[in-house]
Amino acid sequence: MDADYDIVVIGGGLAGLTAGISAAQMNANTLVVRKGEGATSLSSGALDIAGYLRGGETPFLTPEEGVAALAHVYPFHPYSVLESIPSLGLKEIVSWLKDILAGSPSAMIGSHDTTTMALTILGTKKPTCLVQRTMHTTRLDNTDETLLFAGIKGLADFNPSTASKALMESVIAGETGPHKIVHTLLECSPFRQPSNISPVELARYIETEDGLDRIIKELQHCTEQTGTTLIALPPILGLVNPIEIKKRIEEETGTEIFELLSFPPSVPGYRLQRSLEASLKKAGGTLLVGHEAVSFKKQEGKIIDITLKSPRRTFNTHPKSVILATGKFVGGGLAGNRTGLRETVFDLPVLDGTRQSVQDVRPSHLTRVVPLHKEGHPLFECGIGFDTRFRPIDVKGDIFASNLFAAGSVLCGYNYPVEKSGLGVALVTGRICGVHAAENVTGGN
Amino acid sequence: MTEFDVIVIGGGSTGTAVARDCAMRGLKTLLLERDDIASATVGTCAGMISSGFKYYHEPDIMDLCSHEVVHLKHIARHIVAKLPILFPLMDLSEISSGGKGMEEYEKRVQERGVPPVLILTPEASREIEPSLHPELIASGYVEEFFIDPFRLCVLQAKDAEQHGATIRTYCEVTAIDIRNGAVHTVTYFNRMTGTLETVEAKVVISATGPWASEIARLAGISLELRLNKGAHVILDRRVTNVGISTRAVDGRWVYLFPHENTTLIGTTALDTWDNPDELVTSQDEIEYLLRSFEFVVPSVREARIIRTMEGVRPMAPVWKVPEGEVTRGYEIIDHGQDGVSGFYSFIGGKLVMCRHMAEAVTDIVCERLGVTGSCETHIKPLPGMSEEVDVLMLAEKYGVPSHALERLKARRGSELVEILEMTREHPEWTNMVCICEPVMDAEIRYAIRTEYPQTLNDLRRRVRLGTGPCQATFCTFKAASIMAEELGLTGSQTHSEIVDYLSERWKGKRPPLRGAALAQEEIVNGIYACVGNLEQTVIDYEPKPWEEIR
Ligand SMILES: Cc1cc2nc3c(=O)[nH]c(=O)nc-3n(C[C@H](O)[C@H](O)[C@H](O)COP(=O)(O)OP(=O)(O)OC[C@H]3O[C@@H](n4cnc5c(N)ncnc54)[C@H](O)[C@@H]3O)c2cc1C
Ligand SMILES: Cc1cc2nc3c(=O)[nH]c(=O)nc-3n(C[C@H](O)[C@H](O)[C@H](O)COP(=O)(O)OP(=O)(O)OC[C@H]3O[C@@H](n4cnc5c(N)ncnc54)[C@H](O)[C@@H]3O)c2cc1C
Repeated sequence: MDADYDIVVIGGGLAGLTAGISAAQMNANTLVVRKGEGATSLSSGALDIAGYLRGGETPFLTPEEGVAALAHVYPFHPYSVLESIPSLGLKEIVSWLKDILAGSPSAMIGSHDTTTMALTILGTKKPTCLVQRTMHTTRLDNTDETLLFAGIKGLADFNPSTASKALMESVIAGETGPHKIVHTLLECSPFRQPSNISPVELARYIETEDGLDRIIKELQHCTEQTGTTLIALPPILGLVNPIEIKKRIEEETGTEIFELLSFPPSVPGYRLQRSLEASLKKAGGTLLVGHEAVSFKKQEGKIIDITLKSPRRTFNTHPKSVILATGKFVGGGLAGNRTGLRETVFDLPVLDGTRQSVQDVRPSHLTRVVPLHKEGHPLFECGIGFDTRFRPIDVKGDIFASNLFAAGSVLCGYNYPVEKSGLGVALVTGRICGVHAAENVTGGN
Repeated sequence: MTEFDVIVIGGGSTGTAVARDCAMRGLKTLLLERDDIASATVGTCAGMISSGFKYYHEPDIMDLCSHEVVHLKHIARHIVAKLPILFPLMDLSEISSGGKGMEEYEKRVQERGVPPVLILTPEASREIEPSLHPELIASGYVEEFFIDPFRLCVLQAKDAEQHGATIRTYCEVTAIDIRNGAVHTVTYFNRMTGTLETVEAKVVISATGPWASEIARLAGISLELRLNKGAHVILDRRVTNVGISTRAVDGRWVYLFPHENTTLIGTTALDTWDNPDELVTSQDEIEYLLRSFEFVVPSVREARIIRTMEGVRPMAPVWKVPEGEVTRGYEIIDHGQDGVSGFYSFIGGKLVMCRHMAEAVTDIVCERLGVTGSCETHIKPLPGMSEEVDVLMLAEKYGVPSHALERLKARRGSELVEILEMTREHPEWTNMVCICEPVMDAEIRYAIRTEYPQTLNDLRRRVRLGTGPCQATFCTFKAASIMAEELGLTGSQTHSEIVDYLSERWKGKRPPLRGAALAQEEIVNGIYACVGNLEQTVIDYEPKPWEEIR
């Protein structure tokens, strides 16, 4: 069985889906394939654009400023390409995504000209750009709020006592924040199981009437006793209609509630992944899950064939353009053994942040001796090289194929864990690739 | 100033055994350990309490080992396990080399209750262990015992405490004062309080493993050791059903043991003059071990390496022979010969003989102090050792999965019931905080309340937290909060604890980093840097010894 699409996007994380939606919106016949879940669904679901320079300690005032600074300091940063494409500026791209997600469970709040310091389940704060509506609050800087950290008994992922102590300490140290901070554990276990509750299970439970009633009653009780005005919860407010759930709880308790940034398994990460997949379909694109791109054919400098394989079938596609958005190590776009790193679909050369080949560099040599470092591990700057149209380059530095584009964390040149630029780079590069690939198709027609 | 009969320096297998014996014989005993119980050499060993097979040229040592296995089984059955081991033979020349060892082994099988050496056909060998090389010509089959080295040390320390000893961890001995040719006081730096404290002692016993020379130097004595580094590679699952032992690329013996939910491959042997605290496993050591096993278990590289682990053997100063030919026996040095009476140091020895070493030194001390009474450390059981525990019944009663209880029992014996009792009032403490191993919230709290851990790494030694395939990716932040609740840590102390434990894990994850471990590390960085922002938040981080030098 062969299937024909104008554009095949390999990889269905934020980069691939953004590219696919963009192309589909431009009426290209678009297929997005993903073999599994990547980093996107593990993410906290808040979209970082630019938080710090590597090694820096002061967050950028705005993501826009951050993007400019990163592009300036690191000429090989994917953001440096933005300068050459005036029609696709950061502002346009951010508001495009907000439009795409408007009305979805992961509708986003925030803008390219404001850095949001979002609160995490550890009680730390991190700079980000867009947060899901359920994670949004403007009241965290009000000194006269009474903030309640509410955990759920039996959910080991969030300990409200640690978070409240940490935040209180930062307020005492002089940061602005609520002067009254309390914490509690709610009894809200699905099926009355006392322990080992997963956030996803809890999110599903809260979408039932029983679950919602219980959490509301528990919170009402608590807020009455403590005079709470603002409630921080782990991200469990449902998978499908979290925004209504948030509203209901706020009405019933007379407080504002918001979800904290958290770790995998991540309900907001899951919501973001699913919302984007729904947008792709709405835009007319096709999604194939559980399919892996296993081989390709190249002729006269163009990719002419991609073989896709699932446990049940194997088939070929003959796209006019291909977008590689297979992610990094978590996604599966890059792999490494003890002798070096390689790209998994096209065997493209893998480069570090300064564009030196790491094909023969032992992975441990790309790391620092300490586990966390403000400058990050060079390992996470590794990826494939690209030109100003995000076309991958080969060993000689030439364009690998004129109709192949690449987006997201498979690219080299940025260090998302420390820059706080993960989903942001995936968004910007995915959008640009989608548009370029669609233009390529129209041009080729 | 407090006066003690005996001060034991070092809280490894030897020091905790000595403190236990001294306390049981009524001596007023203080144990000083600069870090945590079992934080050094003993914590990096395989835990094999072997018959001494490899040391057939030292029949006395084989006798000693064999008796000790019987004693350890008697006093700590709950933390002892038996493992069959195959010696696959790839060609005939290997058969002839094993003869003497087999003979010596067989002399002692009855005592330990195991069968004599069996020679298996290739078919029989591969039926027991399908991953063996198809072209093997035969294999030898033996059975050996293993003990959990961390639990052994903690239980010995706990038992010493119950017999009146004082156990002080995070207390580093910095001076030994001598008066009239005898030890007088010991000064230590208490790392928890940041103060120097001095105590008087009639007798000082240095059970400091590779640090014995340094401790002797504090008393102005020069003591030579032969230090030898040994490294292990740890795989993410049990790749074989049984242990395998084979000759390495250079003809030394190496082993592969399924261990808890992982596999341990070891060891290397390299003479070292480095600071033991700064050592990490080298690429050559990793490759040496993998290459050596490829000859007999061709698929050994398919499993994911989760970490490496290295330690230093404190051997007797016997030179110009390979490490394997240095005696495995131990020696007690009476520094009376160096002009400091009442001061004793251990050199050599092994985990398996720690109880014996303790008995020998305690005999000397008792004689010196005129104390009568005989050793009972081989008779009286260690905590947790009692009648069988009915795991299935308890699993049902407390609503905890039986596979988790089975593992809990292997660490805790009958203490397990006390831990489960804690979940009556707090059913949510049946949360599995570490899913890989698995480790329950209540056990963590129990360990914190009764076994004085100060860090998450200390907790790991007591409960196996973070030792499985994910190497603490998902349990670190959860366990840190439990520790914060129990010990009253501040928020920023909790964050520091997290980074501290990540560092300790990273030490062993970094050298073998490759394959699926790359994705695992991306997740670690996603959680603790990208989302947690801890690289910006934790500002008082003190580099570890192995981090400072690079
Ligand atoms: C734990 C964690 C938390 C994070 N939190 C945040 C956060 O809060 N904010 C933020 O901005 N960033 C965060 N990040 C970073 C962010 O998630 C990633 O940088 C981003 O998701 C990368 O998107 P991507 O589309 O490039 O890759 P991925 O999301 O990894 O997607 C790659 C896709 O490619 C597919 N694939 C791979 N190979 C093939 C193949 N051969 N054939 C078919 N499909 C294939 C995979 O199945 C997957 O669907 C976090 C990362 C981690 C690990
Ligand atoms: C790789 C390897 C594998 C091994 N496998 C086995 C095996 O399978 N079976 C077996 O029987 N043996 C084995 N051994 C040998 C065995 O581990 C050791 O001989 C034994 O555990 C040493 O214990 P110890 O208590 O003497 O030393 P250690 O465990 O090193 O204890 C010494 C203690 O002294 C403390 N200390 C040092 N300086 C000071 C100070 N100034 N103040 C206070 N405290 C101080 C240290 O912190 C340390 O905790 C192995 C050894 C290695 C290296």
